[in-house]
Amino acid sequence: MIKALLKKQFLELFSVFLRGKDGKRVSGGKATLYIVLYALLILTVVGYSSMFALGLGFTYFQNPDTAWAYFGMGAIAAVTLSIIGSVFMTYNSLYLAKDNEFLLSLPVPSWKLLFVRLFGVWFSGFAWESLVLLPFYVIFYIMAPGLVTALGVVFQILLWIGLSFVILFMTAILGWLIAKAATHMGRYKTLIIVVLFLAGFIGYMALISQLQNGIMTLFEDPEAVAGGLGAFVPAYAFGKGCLGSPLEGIIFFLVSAILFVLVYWVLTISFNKILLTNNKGKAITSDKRQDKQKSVNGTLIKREFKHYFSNAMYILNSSLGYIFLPIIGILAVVNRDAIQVALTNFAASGTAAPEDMAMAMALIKLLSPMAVFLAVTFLAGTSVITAPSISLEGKKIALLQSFPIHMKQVLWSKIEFHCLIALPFTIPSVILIGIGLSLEVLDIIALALLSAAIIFFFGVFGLACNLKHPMLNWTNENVALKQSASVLLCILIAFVAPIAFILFYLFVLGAHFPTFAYLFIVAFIFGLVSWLILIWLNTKGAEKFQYLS
Amino acid sequence: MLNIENLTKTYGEKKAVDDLSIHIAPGEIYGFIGHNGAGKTTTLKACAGILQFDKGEITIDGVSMKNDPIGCKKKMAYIQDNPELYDYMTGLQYLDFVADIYGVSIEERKAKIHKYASAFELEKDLPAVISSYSHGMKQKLAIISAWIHSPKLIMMDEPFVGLDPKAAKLLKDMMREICDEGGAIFFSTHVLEVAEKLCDKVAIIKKGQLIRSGTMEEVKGDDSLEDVFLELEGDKQ
Repeated sequence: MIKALLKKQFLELFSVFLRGKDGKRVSGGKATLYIVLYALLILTVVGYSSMFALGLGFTYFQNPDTAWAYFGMGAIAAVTLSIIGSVFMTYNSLYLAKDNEFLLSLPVPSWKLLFVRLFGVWFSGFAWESLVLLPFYVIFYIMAPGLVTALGVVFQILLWIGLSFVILFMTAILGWLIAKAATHMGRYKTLIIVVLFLAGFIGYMALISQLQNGIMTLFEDPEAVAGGLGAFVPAYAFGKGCLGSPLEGIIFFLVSAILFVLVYWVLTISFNKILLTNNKGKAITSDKRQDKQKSVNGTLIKREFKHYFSNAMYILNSSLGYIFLPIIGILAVVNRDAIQVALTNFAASGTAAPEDMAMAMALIKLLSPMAVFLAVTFLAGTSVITAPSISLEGKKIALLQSFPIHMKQVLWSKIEFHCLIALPFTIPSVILIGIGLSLEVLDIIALALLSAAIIFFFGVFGLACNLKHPMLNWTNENVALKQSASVLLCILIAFVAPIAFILFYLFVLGAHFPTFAYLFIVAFIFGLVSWLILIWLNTKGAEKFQYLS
Repeated sequence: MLNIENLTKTYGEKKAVDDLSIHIAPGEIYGFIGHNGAGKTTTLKACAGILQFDKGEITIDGVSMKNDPIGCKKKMAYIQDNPELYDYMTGLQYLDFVADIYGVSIEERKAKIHKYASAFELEKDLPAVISSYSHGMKQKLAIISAWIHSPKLIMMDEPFVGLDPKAAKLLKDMMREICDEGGAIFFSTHVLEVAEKLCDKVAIIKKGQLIRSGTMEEVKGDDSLEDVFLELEGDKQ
């Protein structure tokens, strides 16, 4: 029984590799494409984790007494990424799954259904956690072989599992909070969920900061550590456990096991209620009558607006970058002087002669616009509203197809909507960041233009990719939002393209070529590629959209 | 009004529709019956311009679906078998959206919405978001949206599924009204009693091929439509 249910859960989880839009097995080529894309993403996350681990290793492996902080920070990073990666999956899997009623109608005990549901959620968190934690373990074995003990290895395995229970506990609580908000908030449901998520995220970051302070306090107060008080700091307990300290290791594992039992127990006693409660929330009503006839384009854009603002998952999955950009911009302007001081100190470090210092400052001046270019491309490429937009049409796509409109109008409305959301956040933010970094006016203008070109590029590129690889037969919108090949391709381009352009600039053109001129050229290239994709969208793309099913 | 000439559609090796020809004149309610998987939905989708076909020609009021799909779609409305509507809109917003797409004036849409929504007893639910609707309510909304731009041809896939008896009766009256005004209806159904009483003409399809069509009398003679259908399908014991 459990085997059959688990098989169903995993089929859903890995549907992207197994089934095509016609429900049949995907072709080998397509499956390979997905596998390559996922592998690249995994490699990227593992790469970033490894770099983070290396940096921490250099800091904390100097003294064996501080080595626990290396694992403690690794655990914090793993929990952060796992929560961001799986909180909405938890919400959808536990509270919004379309097959809840069907499963409850089967002659299957509730605890088995819950076990299978939780297993899927746990697996997602565990996978994310592993991407961060395993590189930490490997780097530890390479950098500090003298600290490796047999007991330490045993506890590393135990705490690897234990930490996944902590993640399950936290995502279940956040998912439950979101579901409660969704049930009671009616009309403002989407807004509340977005705010709740952001508040939770900021709160968590504040907690991490507190934990870091706690770690520093422990360093400064050896008596507290010696007295065992540190065991109450989760990061400390995790870190010490990974180094083979049995007391802290057992405490951490027991606490995480208790948290798991707590989640399972609470969900078991409220399982039927959770599954049968209409978590869609109060019916939203609006008796506002439209008093003016709209053009086709106007009404199509309005439709995109309504869809977007009705779905918190859509907003958070495809626009988080646009929420962070203004924050970065404002912080850059507010801390303009501090940034200058930091950059000067950075240039001064390791430079002995004044001419070296001048050269270092010139290099920083040269690289700063490139860093902004890198950041904007990364944030824009991970926030492409068009990338899942065709998949999100699902089976309702037939409605648009049956209307007497040209499909290029529909495609254009999606691009236009993406730009309408992205540009007002991006351009002013880029200007603010430029001011904060004290960039040249021409550099700022070039960056603003380049940002506009990048936003437009990702709008058309994401849409074209989604048109080539749509996923219309989903049972859960999250699948379309997170597993669409188009979303992965955009993220990949966001990682690769700016680095390639910057390397070309540094190693081929040379530092004598003005940065603003190069940024204008890159903007032109992005614009040109976008134009070519747009031509495809308006012709063959529109034809393909007409008959998608 | 609707001419389907030698329509052929294949999925891989399988011929879903095989050389099908149907002619529907203005004023006719045309029923389309057949087993599950016989090719009814494929035919209707091809006529609605949302499915590419391999061979043949479809014209609506003299306009070719191949040459001028947008022109064709302006003249017709299509209701899917499962009312997949935009859950994130209210009923009213959805009707306004459809009316905007078809260029229906504010006055005309208000009158239509009031007329049909009150007839279907849906008026008080129109301000609610569609995700809160039952299957039947969604079906009623889909019907109102199809009627909102006064199409000449309405095509429906299993339109009576989910409707309560009163709504079903109302839909039948609305279908007749469209035909009395010179329009036409082409719909699929498994409810043979409805088809027998309502349709002027009927077509029976089996494995993608038309096995009988014509006026109700021509098709069933003195027998019931159910007997004829089962006999033609080879299911009669």
